[in-house]
Amino acid sequence: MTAQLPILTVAPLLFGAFAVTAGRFLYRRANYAVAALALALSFAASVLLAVQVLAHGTTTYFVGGWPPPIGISYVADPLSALMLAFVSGAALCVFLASKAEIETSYPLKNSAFFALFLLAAAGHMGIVATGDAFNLYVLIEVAALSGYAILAQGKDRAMLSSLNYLFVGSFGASLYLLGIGYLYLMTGSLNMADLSAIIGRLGGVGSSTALAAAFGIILAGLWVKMALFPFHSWLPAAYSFSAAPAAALVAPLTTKVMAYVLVRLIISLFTPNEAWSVPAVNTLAVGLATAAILYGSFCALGERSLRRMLCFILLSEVGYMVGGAFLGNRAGLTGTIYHIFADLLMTLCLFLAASNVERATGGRFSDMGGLFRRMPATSAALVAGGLSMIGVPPFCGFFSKWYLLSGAISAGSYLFAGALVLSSLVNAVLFFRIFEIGFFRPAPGQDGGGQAGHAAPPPLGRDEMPLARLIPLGVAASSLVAAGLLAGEIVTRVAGAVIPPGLG
Amino acid sequence: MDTIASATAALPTLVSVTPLLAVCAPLAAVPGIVLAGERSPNRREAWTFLGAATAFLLVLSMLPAALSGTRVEYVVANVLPGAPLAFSVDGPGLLFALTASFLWIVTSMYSVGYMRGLSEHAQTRYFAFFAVSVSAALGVALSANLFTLYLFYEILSFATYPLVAHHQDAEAVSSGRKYLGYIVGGSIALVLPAMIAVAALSGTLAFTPGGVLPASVGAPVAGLLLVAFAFGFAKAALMPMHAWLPAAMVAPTPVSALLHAVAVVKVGVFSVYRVVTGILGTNFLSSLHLGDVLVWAAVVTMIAASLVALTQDGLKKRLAYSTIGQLAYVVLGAALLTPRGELGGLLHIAMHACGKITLFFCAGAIFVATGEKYISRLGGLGRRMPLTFAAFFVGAMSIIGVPPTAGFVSKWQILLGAAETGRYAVVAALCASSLLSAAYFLPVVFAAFFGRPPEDAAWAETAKARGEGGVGEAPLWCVLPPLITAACALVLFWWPDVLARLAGGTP
Repeated sequence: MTAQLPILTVAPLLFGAFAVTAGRFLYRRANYAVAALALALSFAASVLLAVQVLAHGTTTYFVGGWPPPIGISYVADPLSALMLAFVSGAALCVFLASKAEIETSYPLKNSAFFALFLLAAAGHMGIVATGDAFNLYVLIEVAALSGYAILAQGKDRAMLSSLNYLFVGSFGASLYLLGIGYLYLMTGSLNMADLSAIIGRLGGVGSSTALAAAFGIILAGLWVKMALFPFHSWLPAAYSFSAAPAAALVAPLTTKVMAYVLVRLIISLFTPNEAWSVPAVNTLAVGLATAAILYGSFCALGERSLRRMLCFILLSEVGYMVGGAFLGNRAGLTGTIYHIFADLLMTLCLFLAASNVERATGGRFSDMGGLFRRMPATSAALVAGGLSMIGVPPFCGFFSKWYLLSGAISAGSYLFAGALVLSSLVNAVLFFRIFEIGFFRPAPGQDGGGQAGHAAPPPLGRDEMPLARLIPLGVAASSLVAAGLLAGEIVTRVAGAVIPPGLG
Repeated sequence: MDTIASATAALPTLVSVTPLLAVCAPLAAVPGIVLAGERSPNRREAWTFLGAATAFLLVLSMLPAALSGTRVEYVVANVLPGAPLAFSVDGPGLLFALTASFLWIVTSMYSVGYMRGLSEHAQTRYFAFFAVSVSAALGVALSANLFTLYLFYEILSFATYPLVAHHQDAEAVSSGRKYLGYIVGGSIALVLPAMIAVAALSGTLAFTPGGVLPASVGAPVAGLLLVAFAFGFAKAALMPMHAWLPAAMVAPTPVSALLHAVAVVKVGVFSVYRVVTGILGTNFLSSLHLGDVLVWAAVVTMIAASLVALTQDGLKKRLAYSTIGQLAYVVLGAALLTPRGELGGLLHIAMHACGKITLFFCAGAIFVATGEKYISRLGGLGRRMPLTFAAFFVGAMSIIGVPPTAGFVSKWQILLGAAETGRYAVVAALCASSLLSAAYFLPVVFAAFFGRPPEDAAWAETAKARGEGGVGEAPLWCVLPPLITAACALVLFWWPDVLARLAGGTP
């Protein structure tokens, strides 16, 4: 059983998707439970796998019993195992929190939504688990296509922006496929471990134009998929017009899983030293990352609704991850890896909180007066997410900043370091602007009480969400502190285990 | 020259969970405070007192170890290489922790009198965040390295925001902005990069006697780091990073008393002290002649803040500027880079705390009893509130530094320290600053006892109408705390030995 764990992390989701589709015609009422069960099974398998891998080392599973390089292998090393646990946990959290939201957002299409949700989760899980470069492309498309479908169902321009995302996303995925084609041309293999060995024998990226082109094209494809500035334009629209559950699933997963693929590209497909051997690429990547951080921060300042602001913050977080991966030192890469986990949790927490806030107020800043009084638990989670984004210890956001900043300082990338610090400050402004509204302004329809200073504001009823939505949110919020306190463990046992020794 | 440093380097250590418990004790009271809520205020306040007493006793239990020269250590989690989340209790840390936790008990008494006396809103929130703030202040005092210190420093910044903005009106909004702008801006933009630079240069952030920087670091880098830390720790309120402190006076008076005279601002100067002695290293700084930078920043702040204090009519505003000036003494003590300077600076943390908290308590008691906030309207009030103004007088004497009050002890050591290093200009500045503080406090006391009440003062009218002309103090819970702290200010002049030994000296 334990040998099959890597595939068991993905299989329940895939079969769950089929079961839910079939269940539409058989017994519709069980569908929510079936989908939740699939997610729970996947999460349980991932946690078991992570425990096993952290204790005993890497596990590899050959799909269908075919050994590589012919067959597809699923590889669980410390990084992918922990990532699987995070991804499946996030999907489960979103699903449990969104039951009511799904029923109102997708009337009559519940089952379709469940199936697509499971497929999207399966795609993201598969991308993390697979050890095969072509299979990875397939799974990118599985994740993306189901993502387009669930993001398209929303208000205003949801369909149009999802279509836009489809065009750009397909372009990015095609670039990735093209790069893999180049690699296959040069090596005759698609298995990542095998590819890496052959590339090493061929003499690395610098040895041939085709390999260098493959590296560059794959990189470009990933940047498009992860919405790095200036390939970002699809993201804010696609994530902000969709219904809340879709955004809460896709926003924490897609950009982070793509950043994970980027890390895999650097450490597993190539080696860090090869990947960083072209100074122009490093300069370009760190430059774009700096631009992404600044662009995201300043655009976020201009937004007047919670979810759109979070989307732009997400853009600058992408900059964090790309920049750290190309600083060319161990601290930077560690920062990127840790930030993948940290940002996944932060985005999860903030999007879940935003979904609650939207439900109660509509999510525009102007309607969020009195929020702290009306929704104390949701506000507390929003504060936790905000403080983590600002980078306050012991929240996890601080520790990624720590590694990224020390990487930037030792690499001499002071512009990138400056952008990181500036984005922390801008985040402080962004979140405290919301806190001010929630704390000081009277709720809509209430007169401004307490202007004299001592008169108590008029008592206002609680408008808090049901526990079913608050418990997953609470788990997400407390995981921010837990991930922060476990930063040392994650860095030494996960990042330290996969980054090759001897990097400066 | 660093006899203290070499003595502490060889300190035996004792692994104990007590520091963690002391930091958690106030936090543990928070659920109790919140659950009791507005429905049963007495039960809620009981939780505050329970937390305060437990924290104080836990801190006190480490006193014998600290006095015998043993370091109490506890590692909570290894979160960063070279910088675990860890506590290490030495004399200076315990001195600060004792001051903060003892004064929290007194302030809690005062909070009850003040908040109930004015029927303030949201008292549950107030007491809950107060407990979190004290916990963070204790964390700073007991932390073993710069990372742990930064962690609690930041928690303190955010936990005090709801206290500063308590009234939730327009003035609270703008003050809250200013408060966070300076404090969080300083810590993220200056301290965080400086801290990471130190970690990159030396590989550790542990407070080590003699500093952690390698000798290869030159004066420009070390100077930059010193400036980043000294001004980045904006809670120390070195000019020009001081403007948040007068703004924060919109908070309820107990907050101004404990946080903006003791906990928050002392966390700032204590952080500067830790960085100067434990991270950059006194020998290292003096070999590069970098102490002067800090000395002059402190002297300028001291004099300028006192001059501004003269112009303030708002009683709390005047106290705030006085605090800014007095904080500079602690920075100055550390910046002298001599054992005597350190001793004086550390003692001033406790001595100034007793004096200034008394003054704030009195300001609040006056407000509760009469509603007066301005110095120009306090004439004759001393005859009506003799106990309050007697305490005010003692507190003022202590701030000025007149024997037999506690302020003299620490100021004397700083003065001697400045003289020992041959900085006679600084000695003159210290004297001038004391004269200035006499000039901004004594007229208040004089007017209160010998002046005439303002024509339209409601309190004077009612007193006259009732034909009493006699005593009309604030509620007991508002009057007792300043009397206690004033008594402390007197007692500490005669028996400063324990505190002095904690601060590392044998006077």
